[in-house]
Amino acid sequence: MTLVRVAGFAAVLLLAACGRTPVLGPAAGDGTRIELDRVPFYPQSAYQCGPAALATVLGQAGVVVDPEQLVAAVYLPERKGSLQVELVAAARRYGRVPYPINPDLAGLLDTVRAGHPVLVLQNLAIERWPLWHFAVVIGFDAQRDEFILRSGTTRREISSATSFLRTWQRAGNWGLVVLPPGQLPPAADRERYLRAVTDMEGVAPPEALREAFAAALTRWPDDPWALVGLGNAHYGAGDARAAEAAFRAVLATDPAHLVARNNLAQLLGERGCRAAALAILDVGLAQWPPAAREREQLAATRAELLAAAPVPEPGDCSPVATSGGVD
Amino acid sequence: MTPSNPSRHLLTLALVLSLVCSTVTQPAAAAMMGTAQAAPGLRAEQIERVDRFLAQDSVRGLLEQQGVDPIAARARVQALSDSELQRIANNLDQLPAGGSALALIGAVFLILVILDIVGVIHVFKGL
Repeated sequence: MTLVRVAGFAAVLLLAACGRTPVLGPAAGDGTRIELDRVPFYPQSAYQCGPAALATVLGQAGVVVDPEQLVAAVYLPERKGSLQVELVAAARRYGRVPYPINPDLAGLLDTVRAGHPVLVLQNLAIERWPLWHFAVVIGFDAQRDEFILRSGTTRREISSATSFLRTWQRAGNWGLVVLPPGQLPPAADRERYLRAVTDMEGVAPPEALREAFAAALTRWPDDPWALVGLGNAHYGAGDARAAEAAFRAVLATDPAHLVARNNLAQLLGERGCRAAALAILDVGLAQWPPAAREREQLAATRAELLAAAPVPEPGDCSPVATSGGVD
Repeated sequence: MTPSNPSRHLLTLALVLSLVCSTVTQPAAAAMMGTAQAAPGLRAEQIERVDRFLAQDSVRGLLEQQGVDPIAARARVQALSDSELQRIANNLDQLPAGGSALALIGAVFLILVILDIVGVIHVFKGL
């Protein structure tokens, strides 16, 4: 019974190649044809479509890296393949922002139209016996109803829109764009973008994080999450003063922001402004009820401050004007 | 005993040193809170901070079982977010691993054979 169902499904799959109605027309706008022909091409060797596809999108994002170098970062020898999450993680290590696109046709077309190749996962077989494959969508032709991909050992693989979309859908419509820090994806989703950048913390260089959070602030001005990220990135890059300004900017609009308050106090303490740091912590401690977890963090920072040997206070411990000084 | 021993010792030394160094430098920034803690609804992450190290450990073991070199595995787990670590730790076997299009020929052949057996198509009848 199951066999018949599978066979029927496979038959539909094979027959679909014959008569089909265009799928790209309405979504892409008739006659639209885009091909990002400057996207590099790395033909894959053996089972290594993961490293090859990743090298392709990294190349477009300004990182020239050979797939061979990526094998150690993403390949699983026993599985003869690579995991999506590891491609994402590897992009972080190169200081690039791995952003999952909207998982639908419009999301894919918009991203390509904005000039970004999209790393996609495909299931080339059927759900029951999946055959997972990574490729890079570099264009589409609405008139001919086709997608253009860098795939496997083929530089320009032309795939009918119907069959490509079917393989893509069977892989959960997963697509990834790898951005140079400072560039936002088209129609960026705030939370998804900030999550992507936040996950780069401690992995990518602080300079990349500074640019990525600064870009977020151009799109979502005064966003506390982005400001805290920027502050931490400044701190990581050794610019404690810029970090201080960012944390102060958060507290100006959200005095109850735990991370901004804690980190500002920490910074002030590090540069010898003990009284100012303690004052900031005490305001915070008064904000929460005695049993709140937030208090534990602030109290720990306070205890650490008090335990440190006192140093003469510098003259500039009071808040400086922060207008425009956050980046 | 084996010729590879000296380099192995060097690697071990490097690992031990990196461990020692990271524990030495950590306290200075220990009170700085990460940006992840500023994300909405992530109190749990904050509380389960210690679990990250456990998750990293278990995923590192899994990657090594998959044939990944131990030093590479260490670097790989460090680049994974908490939720990614969880996903691998919980169901590595279920996660799709993108491999090759080259095996497609084999898969197509299999489907053709099945279709033929069931009688949907007749590719092999004349053989």
